[in-house]
Amino acid sequence: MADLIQLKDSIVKGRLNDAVDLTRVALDEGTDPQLLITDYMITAMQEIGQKFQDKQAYVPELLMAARAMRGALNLVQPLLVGEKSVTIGKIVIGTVFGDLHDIGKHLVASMLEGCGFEVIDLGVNVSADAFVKAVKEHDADILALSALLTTTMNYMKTVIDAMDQNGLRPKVKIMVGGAPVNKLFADQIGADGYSANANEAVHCAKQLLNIQ
Amino acid sequence: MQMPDSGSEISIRYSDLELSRAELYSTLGYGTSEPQADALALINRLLAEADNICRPRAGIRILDGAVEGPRLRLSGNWFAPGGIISHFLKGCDVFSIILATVGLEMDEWIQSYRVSGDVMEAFVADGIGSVVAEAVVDKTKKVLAQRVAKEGCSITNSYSPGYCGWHVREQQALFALLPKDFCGVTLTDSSLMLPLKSVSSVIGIGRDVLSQPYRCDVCRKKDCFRRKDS
Ligand code: B12
Repeated sequence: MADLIQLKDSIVKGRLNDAVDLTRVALDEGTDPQLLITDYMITAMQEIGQKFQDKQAYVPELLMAARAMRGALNLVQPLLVGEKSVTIGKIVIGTVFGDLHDIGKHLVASMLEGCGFEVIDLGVNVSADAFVKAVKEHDADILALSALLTTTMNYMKTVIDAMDQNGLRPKVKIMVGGAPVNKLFADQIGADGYSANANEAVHCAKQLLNIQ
Repeated sequence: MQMPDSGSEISIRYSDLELSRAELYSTLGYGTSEPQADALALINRLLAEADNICRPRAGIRILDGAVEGPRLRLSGNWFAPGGIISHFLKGCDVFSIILATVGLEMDEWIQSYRVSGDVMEAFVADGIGSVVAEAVVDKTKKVLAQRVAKEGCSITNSYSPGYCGWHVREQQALFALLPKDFCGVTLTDSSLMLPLKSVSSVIGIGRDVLSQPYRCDVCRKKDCFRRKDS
């Protein structure tokens, strides 16, 4: 029997190889893939997220966990094809036009994914048109925008205006972040949410969608 | 006194850089803890790769100038670095612009980890790039300090557009004072330098100047994760 508590533990501790091995055994034994995700993997990410919040874990530990989770998820996901969507919400994320910084956005995207969201990452230097197209195409619940410089963060307003002009604003929540962004700026440009780090981004996203 | 020049690259090798592991760990966000076995192995692997790949570049231009109130003149161009930075540069009539970069090779190496999908690898490669960029700045400042010491001068700390009220948009005017393609660094319309891991700074030069502590002491970004006094 695969030890599923140990699977959860190996994700919390960021042990990629253990997480992958245990997942493989569990799947070979016929464990329900959906159960693996919701009851063990996401729970593990919530646990490490809480530790981070309580200052008992640091960013790299969060990422080692997200990495182990990704490895395990890679085995499970192909088995879910065709099944009803199992995510708690769809998020389109990208770094705005004129900016090529990726790492902050990457961290946010993997935490969101680790905690049960489906994340569509459009990459860097993304135009307002591309955001509009992706939000429409994926019927996204949340649009998440990132920027690292004061010169590029203003483009977030352009993206929000474009959502408005295309009639998408009532349908999609918008959250923003990045080193120069703060709550005040987020309010000024009419975003719905802001957070200073990847873990809080998960709380922010859940709040925006009224998820516990 | 050192004569104004039109700017030239200095010779710099990766092995010349003083890279501190403690600095890397702090950049990666390991407060007081240290990486555990798995993370440590990953970090060591990427550091070894960086060692092979990185070709840092840096350059120095020396020009005349002046500080008037919150404004700074470099050669014929005026800048608005704001009150804090102007205060520290006051009294100098010779300045230097330095440009430091980890180089295209390392930027591309970081990029390769961005797209590979492993978030921890991407994060560590990015963090190494940031620490190396700062080390290139430190080395360049040392070279400059040695150069001006021959004239009996010393240097202030380095001040960069985008810090302490100096708008990053002024990078455009600063780059106009540097040779085209200086150190292989280019500036986009949005004032972003490419390679990404690059730094531009202005340094005051004079007979009685001091290198004052800068970033954390005078910066107002209280929530900065690199803040030393919190
Ligand atoms: C390391 C660093 C550097 C390094 C590496 C740069 C890089 N980004 O690759 C070096 C030394 C090269 C550098 C250079 C410069 N830097 Co610098 N740098 C930093 C520093 C200290 C950390 C940035 C970082 O990598 N953080 C780690 C990542 C993971 O964090 P992050 O991107 O912020 O993302 C997190 C959050 O913001 C949030 N988040 C991010 N996106 C999103 C999206 C959403 C939706 C949400 C909810 C949350 C969220 O969650 C992420 C994970 O926790 C910051 C200050 C700071 N403490 O933030 C300044 C900072 C980014 N730099 C700044 C500046 C000005 C510069 C320079 C222009 C200076 C100069 N003249 O040379 C150059 C620009 C380089 C270029 N290519 O043009 C400014 C930018 C603000 C501005 N004025 O525009 C900052 C904010 C410092 C400051 N003044 O306060 N820099």
